[in-house]
Amino acid sequence: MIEGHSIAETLQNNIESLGAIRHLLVLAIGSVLLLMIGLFTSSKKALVGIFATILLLAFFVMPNEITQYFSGQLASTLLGTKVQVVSLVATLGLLLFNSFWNKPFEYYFLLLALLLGSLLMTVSRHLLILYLAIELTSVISYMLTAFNFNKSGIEGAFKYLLVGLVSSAFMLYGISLLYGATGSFFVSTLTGPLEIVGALLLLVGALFKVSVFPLHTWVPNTYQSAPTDLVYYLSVVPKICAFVLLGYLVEAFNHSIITTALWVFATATVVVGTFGAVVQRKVKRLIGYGAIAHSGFLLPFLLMPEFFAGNQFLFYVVIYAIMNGAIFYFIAIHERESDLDLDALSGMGKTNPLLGATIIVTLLALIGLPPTAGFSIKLVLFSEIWSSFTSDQGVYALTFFTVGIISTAISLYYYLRIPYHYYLKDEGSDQLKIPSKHLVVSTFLAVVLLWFFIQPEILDNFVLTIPKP
Amino acid sequence: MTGLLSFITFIPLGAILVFLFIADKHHQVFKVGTLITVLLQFAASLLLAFNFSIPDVSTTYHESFQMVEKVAWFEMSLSSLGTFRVEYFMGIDGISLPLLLLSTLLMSIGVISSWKMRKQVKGYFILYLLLSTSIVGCFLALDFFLFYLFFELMLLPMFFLIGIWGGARRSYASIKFFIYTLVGSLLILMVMIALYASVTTPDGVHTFNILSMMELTNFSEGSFLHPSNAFVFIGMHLREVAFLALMIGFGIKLPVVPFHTWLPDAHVEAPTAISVILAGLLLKVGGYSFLRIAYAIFPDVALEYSFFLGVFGIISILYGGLNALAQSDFKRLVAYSSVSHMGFVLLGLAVLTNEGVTGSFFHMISHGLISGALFLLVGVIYDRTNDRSIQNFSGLANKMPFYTAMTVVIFFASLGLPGLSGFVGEILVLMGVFAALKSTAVPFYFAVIAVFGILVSAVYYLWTLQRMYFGKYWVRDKDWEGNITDLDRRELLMLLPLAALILLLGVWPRVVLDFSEVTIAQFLQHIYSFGK
Repeated sequence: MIEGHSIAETLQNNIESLGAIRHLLVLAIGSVLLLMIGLFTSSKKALVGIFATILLLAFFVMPNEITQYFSGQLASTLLGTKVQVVSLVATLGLLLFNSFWNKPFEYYFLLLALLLGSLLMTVSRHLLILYLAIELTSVISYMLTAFNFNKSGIEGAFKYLLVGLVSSAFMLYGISLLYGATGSFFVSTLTGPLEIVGALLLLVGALFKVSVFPLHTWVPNTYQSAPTDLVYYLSVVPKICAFVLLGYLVEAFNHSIITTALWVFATATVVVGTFGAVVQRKVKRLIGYGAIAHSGFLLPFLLMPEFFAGNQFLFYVVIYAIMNGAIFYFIAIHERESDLDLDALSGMGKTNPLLGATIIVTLLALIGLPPTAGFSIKLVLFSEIWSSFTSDQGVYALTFFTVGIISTAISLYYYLRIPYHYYLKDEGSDQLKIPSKHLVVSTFLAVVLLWFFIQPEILDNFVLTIPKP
Repeated sequence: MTGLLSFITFIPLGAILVFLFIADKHHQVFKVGTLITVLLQFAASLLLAFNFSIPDVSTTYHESFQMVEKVAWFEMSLSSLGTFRVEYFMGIDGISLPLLLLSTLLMSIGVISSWKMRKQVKGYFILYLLLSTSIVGCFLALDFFLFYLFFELMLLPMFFLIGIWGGARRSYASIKFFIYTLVGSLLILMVMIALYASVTTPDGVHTFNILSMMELTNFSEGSFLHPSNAFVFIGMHLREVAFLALMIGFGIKLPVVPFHTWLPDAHVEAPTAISVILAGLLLKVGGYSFLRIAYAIFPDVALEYSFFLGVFGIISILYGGLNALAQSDFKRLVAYSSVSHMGFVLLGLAVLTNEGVTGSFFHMISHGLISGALFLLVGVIYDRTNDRSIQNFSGLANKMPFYTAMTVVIFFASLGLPGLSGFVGEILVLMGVFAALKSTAVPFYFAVIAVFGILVSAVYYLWTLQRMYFGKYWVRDKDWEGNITDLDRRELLMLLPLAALILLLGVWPRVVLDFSEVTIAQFLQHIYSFGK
């Protein structure tokens, strides 16, 4: 409650504000409805249908005005709204996964709630709402990770839970310090050392969500043991939404210590992700480390002065979502047990040459090589950093630039082990012929990645016009 | 005539599209289709050559491009660096035209050489055509970004062509090739971005246009790569750093010792046709990029560093030669001789005299033909016996007279016998080194050292001739006896044109030099006017 307002005024404001979160309401009510319907029907098609309908409904009722509401406790930004759209579309992308069509009904409910939490992250301005949003996504993620219902799934979920709990405790402590120092649950420019400590602790929670060093340790295990469609989801939606939140915090704190710390973390994340991936044999762990490195690449966008005004971050995020969709789709269709080993891919290229070609495109995009959109986003990123370096001659930007380039070179090695096994290794004992219907989706995603390279202006326009469908 | 360059570049992609819809089992269709496509490319480049007008001496290097195709391609906004604008910009001059002819010729011969391919024929020829597009594109692109695309694109088909159709250690060789070349391309990429950020055209647009990058006035004051920028990184000015990064990037491709170690592995493991393309064309892409990009954009640094570049040229010549001497594998020997010859290309460029650059350029063409033929010769013996160890054969001349005669011609061409093309390139480079006394810091005794390289090459070629071809007929394995037959018509069809061209260029080098003479003079004019 904001001081200076009477209860009646606040109430009035809150009721008016409900309109601004109508898409969130759709998700909240829809998810509960889904849970109830799930009790009475066992038809997965119906459930997935309702799931998709709720998403579409949320998409079409999305408000596009940029305002503050609930007395400033929530506030929409242009970037945040666009990321919300990307999140909704990315959630719809789950429908491509075969495994998604065969889950307990609670799974769909939890996913909608996870989406709700993620979207809430992009608009929260009040520290407690922010905490709530992060916890909502986290707790659901722990549960969903165990949805393979096997030993490794439980193990993955438990590790995730432990790291999550610790970071959550840090975050709460940070919030209490900030509140103690400023007497407000709203974030403002940092002044004293107490506030700086509080802010750093608060960031721990957000950094955990985006898997930035040193809070990335849950990623490999969770990715390896969670259902593959969920891994795709975790690697995209909660992450990009948390980045928007983090971006807001950085802007609001507006302090050089925070910026410096994040530059250092970003650099370390890229290094850890890259070197971690080099030694992996399990494909999902490998991609997991790759995703850590990508978090490191996304982080510098937040440190740019025009983070909320520019489209660069969004450009990266859209391509990142497509790339991750493509790679996890590839993993999902090759998966026989829950963890896919590189050796299991050996010689698959002989029976599925075209599928292999699509994955090469995807991997080139993940590395950041032309002629894929992955190159365009790396180019955008590196030119951003370059211009940041030239404007203030910052040593951190230059270090990141160098480390980024070197990591890109190293990432070649580990990403290309996948096509290497696929094509060049002799065939394994049993050859799997992937049904050709999977080829359609893979080819589509690969073509999109190529097309956005040739005509990035399409995406540019798309990104610019996102909030008004 | 406009559109011809795009036609040459992209017709293989059209063929690939058609191939995708043809069932795997129609091997003949893929072979004939590929042959027709590359022959079309060859015919179109001949047409181009006949329509090429020798540029006027009074024009400058920038103006000498012909058949230019230039369209705005795409734009992307990049915050404070302005709009990222790429042009589809192709053109041809006296340097790229002969290389284009060489490419399309060798690609045609490569198809004939792959005629007996039986393993995954469809995939092979699709990748082969993709390779053709990328190599030709590299020689024609005048926009750095476009060039870089083709340059990168070359990697993928090569990786698979070596990795799937190669010899026993193919996966090792293909990975090594890939990693080496990609590390090089990342260096090139960094320079490309830095150049892009530094260069503005007079109308205030950042550009990837290589021609704009060659003019000092286009570098905006205070930008990274402006000569007056005093920023020092690892003890060097940024222009020097950029030039070195380019030299390493392209030097891996050329290859220059010590970045050459991918080459023997890749050459040895690749199937014959791909070895021909690798040695004949990919190495030339490296040399061509030196000329077109590294030297043309950073002439000031190139002049300053000419001594060191010369040293690396010398090291490549001697080290490659001595290594070739030590090989027992025929194909490895040929591969190391390529390293040695590429040293001449670098040395000729380093001295930056008319003779040197002409020699270097001519040597690229000549080595393209000679190394192509050499790998075909290795392929001949390997096809028959699945073996290519020098010590496993002796006295082949008794059973294979035509093969031996052909080998003698090509070997002599490679070791620089007057009257054959190898001699012209080497002598021009050596003359260039002596002429350099006046201009650059390359001392004349480099020529003396380089001559030892020629001597070493004489030793390993003559020694190989003596061991494998002359003496008493003997082969290691009795099972091979029946297979040791002389060249068949297909092999003659590949080798004879190459031998004829080698002879023609040896006695009448003007065939190539007429095209390049004015362009190289203009190039040097540009180097010295910008560089000083």
